[in-house]
Amino acid sequence: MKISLKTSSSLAKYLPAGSVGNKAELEVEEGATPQGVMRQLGLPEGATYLVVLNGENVPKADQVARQLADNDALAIMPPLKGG
Amino acid sequence: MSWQRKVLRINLTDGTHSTEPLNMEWANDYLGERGLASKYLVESIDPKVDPLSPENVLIFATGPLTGTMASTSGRYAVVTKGPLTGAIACSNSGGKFGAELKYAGYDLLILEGRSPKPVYLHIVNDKVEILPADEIWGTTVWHTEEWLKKQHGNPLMKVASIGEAGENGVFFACVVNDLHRAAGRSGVGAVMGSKNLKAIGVHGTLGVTVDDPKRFMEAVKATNKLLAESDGRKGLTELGTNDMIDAMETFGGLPTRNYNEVQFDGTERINPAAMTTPNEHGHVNLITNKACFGCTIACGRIAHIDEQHFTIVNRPEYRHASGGLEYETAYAFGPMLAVDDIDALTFAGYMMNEHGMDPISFGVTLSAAMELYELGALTKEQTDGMELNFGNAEALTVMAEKTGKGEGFGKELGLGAKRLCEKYGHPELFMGVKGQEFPGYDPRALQGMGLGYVTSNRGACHLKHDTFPEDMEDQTGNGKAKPCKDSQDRVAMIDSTGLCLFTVAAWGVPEFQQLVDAACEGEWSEERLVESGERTFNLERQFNLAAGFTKADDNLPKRLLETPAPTGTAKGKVAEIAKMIPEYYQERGWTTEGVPTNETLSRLGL
Repeated sequence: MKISLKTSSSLAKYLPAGSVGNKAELEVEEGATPQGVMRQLGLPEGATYLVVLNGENVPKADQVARQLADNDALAIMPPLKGG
Repeated sequence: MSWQRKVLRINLTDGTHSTEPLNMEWANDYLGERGLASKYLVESIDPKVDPLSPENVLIFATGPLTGTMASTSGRYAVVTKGPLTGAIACSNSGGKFGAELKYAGYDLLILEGRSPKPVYLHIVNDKVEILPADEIWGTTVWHTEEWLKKQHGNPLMKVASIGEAGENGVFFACVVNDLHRAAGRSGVGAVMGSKNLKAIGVHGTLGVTVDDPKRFMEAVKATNKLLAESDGRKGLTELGTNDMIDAMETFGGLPTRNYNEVQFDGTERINPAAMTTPNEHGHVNLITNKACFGCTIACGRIAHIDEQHFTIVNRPEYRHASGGLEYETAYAFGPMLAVDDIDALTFAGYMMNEHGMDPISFGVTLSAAMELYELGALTKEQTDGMELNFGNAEALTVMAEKTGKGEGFGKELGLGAKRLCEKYGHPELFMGVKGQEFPGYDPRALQGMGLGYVTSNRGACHLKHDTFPEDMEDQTGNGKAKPCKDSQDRVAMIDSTGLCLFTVAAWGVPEFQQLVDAACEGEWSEERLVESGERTFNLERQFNLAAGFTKADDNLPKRLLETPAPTGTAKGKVAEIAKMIPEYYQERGWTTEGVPTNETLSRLGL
């Protein structure tokens, strides 16, 4: 199934080749989770990420289990911090 | 050692100076920088004093680790009673000035009174001169720094100065050092201007010593390694603080159009990717990153503006590299004004550094003015013929310069958002706390941030607590009081060391403990360090209560309490301050009115 994926400028380098800016259309397996997508992209493991699925915040504990559906809009961002 | 054990006191009224031993009893209780300077301030002034009167005192303070080999050791703080807020102000900066002041032999520089004429200070170790500033009064920060170095034939001199904004009493004027680092918030530059003090040029050659050099260098090596390996540190180095803008927009916590919205559709035109992507002329905004003294993070940005951009097409003097966009500047000039022209934002940033102003307060004030204009409470005749609608990039750049120079409607903007909104009949449009404008995080999406804003002792601030992990996990007011209180105490301690808060990308209290305990004489446990932070926080609170603040001031504007977030992950939510405040006071050991109990004061030795 296909999902649309958005990242921050800093994580855009992990998007598949041919992606434009910090957005990509991504083919994922049925039953994929946000954490599975992080693995698929090769994001550093053990780090904390902000995950927003279809406009809803997904807390860290749910990032392992929440199943994605076809055409979902997933955003994976670095953790919020001060600047 | 690590402290220089010496204070330089300047009386500007009679043009005298003297040195005195650092009060080591206070240093042992408050460490240095923010905490120690706050103690000196509290002991020096009446909390009800007019901040812009000669009776206010302005303190430049280093910490025990300032100028040492520890990473990020260039920090210093400017502590005074802030004119923007009427509260205690602690405004902290990097660059190289702080370390240079320490190398000249001083922990603290205390400025009292008011000079009858404009002056500047020239300090070379124990040689201290108070010299006429007639030739630089009325000129910019950038000109002042260049002039001082030439005047004294000393390119190694480090300079902290005010621009015209500080001279003119702009309520959010900064003290700028090293051209584009600033003690930015609460109007500390206006206090310096009120004292007729234009600049401080300092050159030091004395170095610093630490208590246990071998153990200290082991701690430096270990803590540097942690920073080097940290993903958070790498993000700051590669993209700077503006990397946060994509996440905040996605989260729906990016304040837009004076907090009427929480997401900005122009984010991709002002984010770090936009800073590194060639525009239609092939121009790339970002040149490189930049580090402060001794810093292994290097979050600063150095940028330049497209020569064909309207701001500089006829102004070759601005065709050079200078300070680039950081998150707070991008937020305050971008979404808050609905402007997505990256070169316009960069130019307005130049104006802030050149004339000495806080970009957060300026941007939020202009945002309020734009809302007033669109409501009809301000007319084109009052804004120098300028259409002050949201989205007008030219209004941003022109008003930034006018405010810096004190011209036309810029004088009104120099009042800050609270006074401006009150003057034009809409006090409810002021977005801030205790008179200080909000940074770029909407408290409806980040509830802990809202609690941090209302309880920050210098008015709305994002840098005096850290509840980001809790805010990401839960977007209600539940469970925010303790992490807010604990992080405030921790941050107050870090702000008192002489190191940068951004080290928390990799460090916790144990890392600060290793460094402080090796550098400073005496035993510095983690508990003692955190307690010193708690002591500082309560001391600041006591000052504010004595200055006239009450529980009623620990609150957000109605817009955030009553109007739900229109979009984003917190859609439909309002800020839950009324729920969080009683829990917070209890965590603090304060009464239900927000006053530290005798037991709390006694426990902290206050």
